Amino acid sequence: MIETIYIEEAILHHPRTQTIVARFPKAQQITCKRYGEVFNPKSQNFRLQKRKPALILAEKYKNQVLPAPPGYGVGAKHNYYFSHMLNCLYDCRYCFLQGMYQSANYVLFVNYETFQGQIGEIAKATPEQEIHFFSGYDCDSLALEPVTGFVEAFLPVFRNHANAWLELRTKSTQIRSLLETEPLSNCIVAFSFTPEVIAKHIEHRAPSIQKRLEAMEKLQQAGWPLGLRFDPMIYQPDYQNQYQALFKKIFARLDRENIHSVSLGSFRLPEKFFTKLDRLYPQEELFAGPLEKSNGMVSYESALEQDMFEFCSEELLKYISPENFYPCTVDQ
Amino acid sequence: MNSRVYAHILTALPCEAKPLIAHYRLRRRMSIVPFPTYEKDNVTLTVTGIGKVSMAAGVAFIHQLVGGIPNTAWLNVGIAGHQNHPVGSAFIAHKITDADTEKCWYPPRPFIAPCKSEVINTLSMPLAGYPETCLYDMEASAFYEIATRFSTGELVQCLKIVSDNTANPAENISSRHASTIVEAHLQTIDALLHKQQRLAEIINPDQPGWYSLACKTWRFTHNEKIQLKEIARRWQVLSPNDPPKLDEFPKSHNGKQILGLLKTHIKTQQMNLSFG
Repeated sequence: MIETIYIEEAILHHPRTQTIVARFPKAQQITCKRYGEVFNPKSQNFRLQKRKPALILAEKYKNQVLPAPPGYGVGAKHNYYFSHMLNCLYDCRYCFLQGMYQSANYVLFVNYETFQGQIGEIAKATPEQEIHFFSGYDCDSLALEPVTGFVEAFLPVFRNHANAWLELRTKSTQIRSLLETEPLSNCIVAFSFTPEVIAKHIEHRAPSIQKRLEAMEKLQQAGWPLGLRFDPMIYQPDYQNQYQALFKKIFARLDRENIHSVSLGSFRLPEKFFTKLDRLYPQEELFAGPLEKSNGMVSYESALEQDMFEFCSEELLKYISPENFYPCTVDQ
Repeated sequence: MNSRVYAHILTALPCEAKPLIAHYRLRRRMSIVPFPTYEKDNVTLTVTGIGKVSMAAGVAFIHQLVGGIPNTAWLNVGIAGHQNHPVGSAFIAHKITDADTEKCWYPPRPFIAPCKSEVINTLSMPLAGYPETCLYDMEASAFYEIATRFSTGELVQCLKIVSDNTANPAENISSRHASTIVEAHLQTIDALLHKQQRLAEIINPDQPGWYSLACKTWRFTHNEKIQLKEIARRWQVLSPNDPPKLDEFPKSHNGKQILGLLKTHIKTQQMNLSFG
């Protein structure tokens, strides 16, 4: 799977580097001074690199844990995000990562201890307040778990800080690490969904809706808090039937009383990102839909977006209570 | 080697170019003076002369000569020295360093390479000996740095064939020898160029046929042509099997009016677009 591994010289002998490299004995190892030399150059094509991404092992020196963007949250006042990894195994066509990064190579920061230390300090600073930490912003939290050991490494941090909550945002079925450990009440495993026909068409390489639901069932039976993330909503002429069917399917399989949170979000991208995506995939149907540019963002035409939001909100509230519903509206 | 996307081969020396010219049956464009340039079926070959400045100039020259088309395939083929790799062995670059500036580049390779890869260290002057285990040449860094201004890194590759090593020093290289070792790797070069062109085709989709017809039938300003290209691209997604019936559009319309008609149609199609 990984045929080329770029490694920063400074972490060549880091134990995590050694463990990861040992998993890919046939991969070519190329050293570099800093990961940016490989990851940042402008003359790269995300689409072409996605055909065969390399792995870059690096150290993150600063900004390991950052405040989450406004409106990003499921109930806590204080929200942070952290990315142990950049880029995702999957290839969802709506994903902003395609617009944000020049390279589709996976960057894995091996200095987990630095991230863990910062999370601990933030949690300790206000022990009486609930603080949410979101992973899965720049990657899928679980997709590369067998390689990264991310969950295995970070769960103990949250086990030791009751006020620190972890969200693992994912589409993955790599849940073994979670099933092999005691569930944490302050760790939410949040699965993202779009209707089946949309998922098949634009969530390339991601597990099917069916497989994700199977994973969720197992986690729920094991006692893990679960989240549902319907973000972004994707328009199709038949979206109402499609989303109705999706919600029906999901809530028929899961115990809705034990869902921690459900969020709903619209499809929107910064204009610069959208332009880049559109150029990368000029024949992509998603980008030929009824979109408009407004205030530096590209989204569905406002009346349509509003209709979709209202419809999906109404449908979801047939299954869940408002206290567990977190719609991400434009105004937030 | 048929492709609708250009492939530009650059060599420093005529002896490096000779087997490639024969293999691809390239014809010299006699009117072009600064750099000997050969061409056939969207494959060009330019002999730039030795050194970074010459190579950089050659890259820019051929790019402009073919109309400044972005995201085409670029390949630098040449001989290089190595401490101990066997003479005649071929490598593509996975890292290129410039000995003077110490800049580094890492050509992305989203394909199965047809040969092994190596580090290339580009020098300004020939070196006595081979201090490190890397390939030594005199053009790759300039080639890569300049070609990636015109194309994305995945489409820009360097392939070097070892002409000299510790046991067989550079003084013994003849032009004939250089041609022979390049000729031995024509299959590898072919395979690499093929991969580059296939990648280039992915990111350079065809323009639908009716675009050219529309440009011939109505007068469009430069900006309107850009809009028309964009509309043609959208139309191809929304109605791939149903091109606009241009013969039903009034010939008396100007470009702006034609764009208006096309945009109206697209608007209605957008709401009805179903995946697949």
